[in-house]
Amino acid sequence: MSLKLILLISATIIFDCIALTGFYVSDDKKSKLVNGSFLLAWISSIVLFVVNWIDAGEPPMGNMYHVAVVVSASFYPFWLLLAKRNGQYKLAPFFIVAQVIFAIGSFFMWKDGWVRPPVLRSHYFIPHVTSYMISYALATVSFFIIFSAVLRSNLDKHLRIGIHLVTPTMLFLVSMAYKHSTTAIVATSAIYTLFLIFAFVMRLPSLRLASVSQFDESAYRVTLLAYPFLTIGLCLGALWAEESWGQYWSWDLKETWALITWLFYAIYLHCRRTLFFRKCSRPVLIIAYLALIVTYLAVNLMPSMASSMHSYTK
Amino acid sequence: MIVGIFSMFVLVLYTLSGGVPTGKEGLTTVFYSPAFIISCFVMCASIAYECWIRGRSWKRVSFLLSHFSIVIICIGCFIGMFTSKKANMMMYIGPDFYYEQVPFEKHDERLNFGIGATAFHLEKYPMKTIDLFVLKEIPTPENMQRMGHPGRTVKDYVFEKSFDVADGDIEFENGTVVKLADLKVEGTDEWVAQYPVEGIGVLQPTAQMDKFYEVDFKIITKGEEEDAEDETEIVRMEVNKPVSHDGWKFYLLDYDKRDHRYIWISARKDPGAIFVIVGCWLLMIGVSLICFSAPTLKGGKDES
Repeated sequence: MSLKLILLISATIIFDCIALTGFYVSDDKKSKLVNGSFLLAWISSIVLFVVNWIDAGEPPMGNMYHVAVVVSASFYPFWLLLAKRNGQYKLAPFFIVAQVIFAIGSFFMWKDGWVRPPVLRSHYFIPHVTSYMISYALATVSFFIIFSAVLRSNLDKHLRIGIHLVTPTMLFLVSMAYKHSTTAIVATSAIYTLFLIFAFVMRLPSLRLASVSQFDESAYRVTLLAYPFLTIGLCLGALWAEESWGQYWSWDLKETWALITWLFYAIYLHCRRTLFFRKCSRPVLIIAYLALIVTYLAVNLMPSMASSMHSYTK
Repeated sequence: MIVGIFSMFVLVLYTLSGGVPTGKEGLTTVFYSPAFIISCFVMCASIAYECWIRGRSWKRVSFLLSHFSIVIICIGCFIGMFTSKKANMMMYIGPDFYYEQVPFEKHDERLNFGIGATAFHLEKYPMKTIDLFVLKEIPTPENMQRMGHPGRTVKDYVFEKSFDVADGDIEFENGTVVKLADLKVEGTDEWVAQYPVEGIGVLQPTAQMDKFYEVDFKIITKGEEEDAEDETEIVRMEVNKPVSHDGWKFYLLDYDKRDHRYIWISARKDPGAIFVIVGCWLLMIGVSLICFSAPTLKGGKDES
């Protein structure tokens, strides 16, 4: 990885950390330190995107490193939109943490020498990938918010213990079972680091007094913003496949999981609107995000992906 | 709405069982099973009912679009499932080759016209690196040792390092110089597959990736009268630009990587595809309208 890329990714992470610290220093929701640092982090990720474009000579959306950078660059504008339109300034820590995670992730996903294959030369390429990445960014934020609601809720005490203990243990055991000891250690450490970050975020003055229902409401708003992009991504993918392979749907592994994710989010939005199912909405949103993670990460890492029609996304 | 949510749950469960990587046959078993089709039908029926009850007003146009579009997509899928014809076929390139039949699993489908590929154009990305492989003694893999393979080492070519083409001619530490021009097939601009360097190893140019390819696709329409002359039309066919004719669509899939003697195309006739395409656009518009105009997102209270 070249020095300029390392510097740009590091700049994004450092500015985000300054922004998070700013929440501790100042209780003012519209703090200049927070807004300024978050803006600088966004500018760093935009510059990184431009550098990737120059390096590749094509729109840089072809591999997992590229898309992680696109996701990382999507947070600030949408937070600004929610903040200006709904006064959701208090959501900034969630957007910042999500950006940090994707910025760190881009370090591990970096792959040299991407070239755009003929099948990706389509007018659907940029809108399809961009809309998916925006939806992933917003879905990550909504997951963080609902996850915080679960951690805050006293009713979900058992679930909370389960999340803290069972998830990393399961991940560790599964990875060890497949003889991926490095993956096991990295993944388990990553999960515990995430819990630590959440513990830090939840102690921020602006969030300490927020109620569980406020978190629920915020997660719903962010998901409402994410869902159209998820739908556009899915539909444009089908239209593109129709134009490229002559079949709009082929039950490819990536496609199947994208549909599962879309259905889970549809169920969540419907659950929120019916009293009968409203209690289920929180776990459904968590499961929906897990399905999204499978679509984004796990499906690409499965050995059967080698024969998949989406194998160039690795 | 409750029936709709239940049917979505059932669909998700089915899709999950099909989303486990068990191979293409597993997917077909799940997604073309009667149970899956019935769940789709139940979901469509509940959506249609909700649209009839709640969507009969111009104010609910976003609701109508976002929900009824799913029914349109499902109708298109069902039409396609029962009436579509699809086949992949190999087609030799040249002015003399032309085909009037498309091979299907059970029988060949006769077209009312002829098709062929007259010329093929390929553009590749420039070569970036050349790898050096050196003959080395390496330990026998563990599984081979267990199988009783004699000896603990084998001799094999092992990757040593890469040379950047942009740096020019390759110079080794012992003074041997290999010119880049020597690594090309004589009289052409193509790179050789391997180039042995005496006393050092083998140089192997890395694979050049395809940038773009297209064919001149020929469609021969027969005259209506017996003695009328055939009409030949040549159109450009690219990977993302299929050719349509007489209800058929032809897609360029792949080509003969070695000699460029033939191409792989997909021929398809699907009357349901138009429903799916229209349904997808309506779904995108409907969902965007319903979500972006939600009172909750506008700063108001949740209306549920």
